Amino acid sequence: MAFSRTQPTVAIHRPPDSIAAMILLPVAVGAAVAVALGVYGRLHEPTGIAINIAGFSGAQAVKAWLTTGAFLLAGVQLISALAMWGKLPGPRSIPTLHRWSGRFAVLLTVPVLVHCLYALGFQPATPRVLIHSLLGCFFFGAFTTKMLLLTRRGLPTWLIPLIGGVVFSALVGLWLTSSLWFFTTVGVTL
Amino acid sequence: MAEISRVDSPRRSPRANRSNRGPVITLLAVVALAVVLVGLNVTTSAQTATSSPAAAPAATQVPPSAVALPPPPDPQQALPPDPQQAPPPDLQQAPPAAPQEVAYAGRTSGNEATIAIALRDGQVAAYLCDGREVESWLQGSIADGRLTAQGARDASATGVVEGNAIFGTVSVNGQQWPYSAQLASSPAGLYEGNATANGVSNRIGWIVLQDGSQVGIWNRNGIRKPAPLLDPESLSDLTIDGARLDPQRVAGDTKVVGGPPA
Repeated sequence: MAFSRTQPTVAIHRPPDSIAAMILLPVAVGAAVAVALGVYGRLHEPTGIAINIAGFSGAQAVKAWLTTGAFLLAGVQLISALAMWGKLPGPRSIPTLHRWSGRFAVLLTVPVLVHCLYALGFQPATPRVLIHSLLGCFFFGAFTTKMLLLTRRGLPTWLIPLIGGVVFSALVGLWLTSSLWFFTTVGVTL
Repeated sequence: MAEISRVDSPRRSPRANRSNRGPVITLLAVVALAVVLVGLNVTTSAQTATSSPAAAPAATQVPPSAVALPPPPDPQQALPPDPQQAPPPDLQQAPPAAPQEVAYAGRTSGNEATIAIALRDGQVAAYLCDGREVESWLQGSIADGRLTAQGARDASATGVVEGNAIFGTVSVNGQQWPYSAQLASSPAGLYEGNATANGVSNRIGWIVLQDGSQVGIWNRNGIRKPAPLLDPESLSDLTIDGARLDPQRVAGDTKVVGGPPA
């Protein structure tokens, strides 16, 4: 196949026990990350303020645009993943595009994560804020799980697309509950 | 799956190893960026915390109402020489119950609106305002560090004083927002101006935030629009619709609710 640098899926027959053992640790670490973020967000006293980036009206606007950047890159992620797995035609460089768009996407979300947890915390006040808080913790846990799973060989072929889809869905949910909300209530503003 | 199955031969291990490390490096990069940002935040807020008591000493060193433990240093005295005593005292036990004139300014957690809270002698005057069309004046009291305030049309606010900030929830027009307000040193705070022009009542509320920015609404007989710019330093008169409006700083005991209908 043309995609010689795609996911290393090796045709090795492993007993189910061994596959479960390989998956267990990444999932456990990801779950621990998600829970740790949520607990920190709940226990840490929100400061209400945090460092800001020049050129924007406020931290909310910065976060709305950073998340939108990540959201657009997530679209690239979805399309490039489909190409990597042979569902769409694509050039040989597709895996590189997938990796680097993913890296930039998640790096864009890190300042948002830090500001959300440091300045605002985990908030259950309204359904939107609660869903956003839960999804935010879940997203970084799922992302951690995916990165750790990528280091494993001989996983079932459905596993990486599944966890990738989970990460993608979480990010879309985060965008809907923050940026879209911000743009429709406060306005499309820098 | 035939379409994607291939064999990673051990002979291609350099590339395989590199691609295997990639996700871990990505993870580490994410953690490193997060650590740097948290570090910047902690450093920045530490600077803010050490500078704000100097900016507003009267507000940060309030005598506790009832403390069984050894009392903190007398706030009337000069700062003690011991640097250990220099940080703000534990205000968990020290709600502003004394006759202090204090103002807090901040935002709702989703930046829906700004809020300013003025305290004096346990009395509270507060104002929530988004600078465009949502505003509410609230009146209430504070006791044992707990704030409650009510406004017209079931508007209400609750809050807890913690350190140099008030955290709580405000409800306006059926919407409920968590907020945080930081101790504000003048000219940051809450301002109000009233004027009758051509038989029409006008009321303007301004919130001046610690960074000097201001958010306000001009309510002309129920029609709301952004407020004209206030000079909080001079509080010079404004002219609206040909009438003079004299802005005043709002204190905790200023009557802000129960006047003419909004």
